[in-house]
Amino acid sequence: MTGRTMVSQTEEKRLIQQAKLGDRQAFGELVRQHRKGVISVVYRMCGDGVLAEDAAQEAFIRAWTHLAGYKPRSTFRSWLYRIATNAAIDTLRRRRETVNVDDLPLHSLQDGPERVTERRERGQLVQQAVLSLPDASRLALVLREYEGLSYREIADTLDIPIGTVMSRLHYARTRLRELLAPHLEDL
Amino acid sequence: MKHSQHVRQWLDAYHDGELQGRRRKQVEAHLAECGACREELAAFETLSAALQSEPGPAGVMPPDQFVTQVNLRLLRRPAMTPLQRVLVAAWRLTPVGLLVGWTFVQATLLVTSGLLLVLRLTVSDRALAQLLPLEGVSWMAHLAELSEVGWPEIIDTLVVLIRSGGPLGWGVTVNVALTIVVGLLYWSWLAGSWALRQHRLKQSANGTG
Repeated sequence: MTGRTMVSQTEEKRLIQQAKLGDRQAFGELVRQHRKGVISVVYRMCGDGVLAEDAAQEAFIRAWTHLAGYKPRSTFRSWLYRIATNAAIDTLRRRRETVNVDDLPLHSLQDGPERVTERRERGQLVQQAVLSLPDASRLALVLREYEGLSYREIADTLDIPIGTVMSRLHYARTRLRELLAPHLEDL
Repeated sequence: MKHSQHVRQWLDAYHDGELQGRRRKQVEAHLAECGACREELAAFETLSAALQSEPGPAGVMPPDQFVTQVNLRLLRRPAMTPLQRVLVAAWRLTPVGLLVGWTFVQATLLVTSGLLLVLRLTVSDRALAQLLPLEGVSWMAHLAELSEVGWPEIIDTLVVLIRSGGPLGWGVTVNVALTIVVGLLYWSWLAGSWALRQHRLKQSANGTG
């Protein structure tokens, strides 16, 4: 562990202690530090930037409300991501009442590679494939591939055994390879 | 390692840098000679690269604006009152208090027993009887009388036995009773803490789920 990491962890502990005592400024600093990761996780889960920001804010408010329940057995990031993933799932549930995300059109996956030329389109292709995964395996994949969490941290975040993390990741990757097989070389 | 013993089940973990020690070396050795597993690993790497090509949310608000928005939405949580803080601190210090109290009584009993021993060795029986009036009561003698007497006498004898400290003497009786009480209090504290923790976890789960 580098000295810098240790310092930042000490600083984070101090901020958490202060926030637990009701210091909103300290909590604001924690929000600033974890904002990007939380928004990213929620966005990868629901696929909508505006919804992601709203759900990320909701996640931070829940974190503030339940901060007293945080125990340093797991990292603050894991705890926060757990709240964020739940907020994302809630957002998805509300969204599914109007739009069935599972039935999002995946027809572009069947298109020929000549049509998948723009970076934006390629991104959409990948995003749609990720969004078509079941929530459980998508969560494991997002935390690993986009946030770089270790298996231990993913297990803590999702409250599942490491073996389950591995099987969910394997399923997600296998399914994505199937979905993106015709385009992987172009991506 | 033969090609038939592929390491596909470990390739996810190897790709994610989660394999250590012997297993990692085993996978590396197999990859060096197995083209099929190398292709499988390359497929993981291609997929990871493809996933990274998805740029993420565009046009998110600047950090300061985001923090301000969160602050605006935050419910103002009332700070703990001084009384609440004292109660929380007292609850946390309960085990320490029990330990300190138990140790203090043990030390007191030990010192008292030592003093009594010194008194027995140095002071005459008569003077000792004056100093400790109950010392004259022999619980053995009362116990011997039990076979020849009725219930009123038995009760009287028991009272005298209790006054004289019981068959084991005051020191041991108090010690055992105190240890039981301290043990019960500690287990009650543990049970209370567990219940409180479960309550908080439930609250947290409700709030986060």
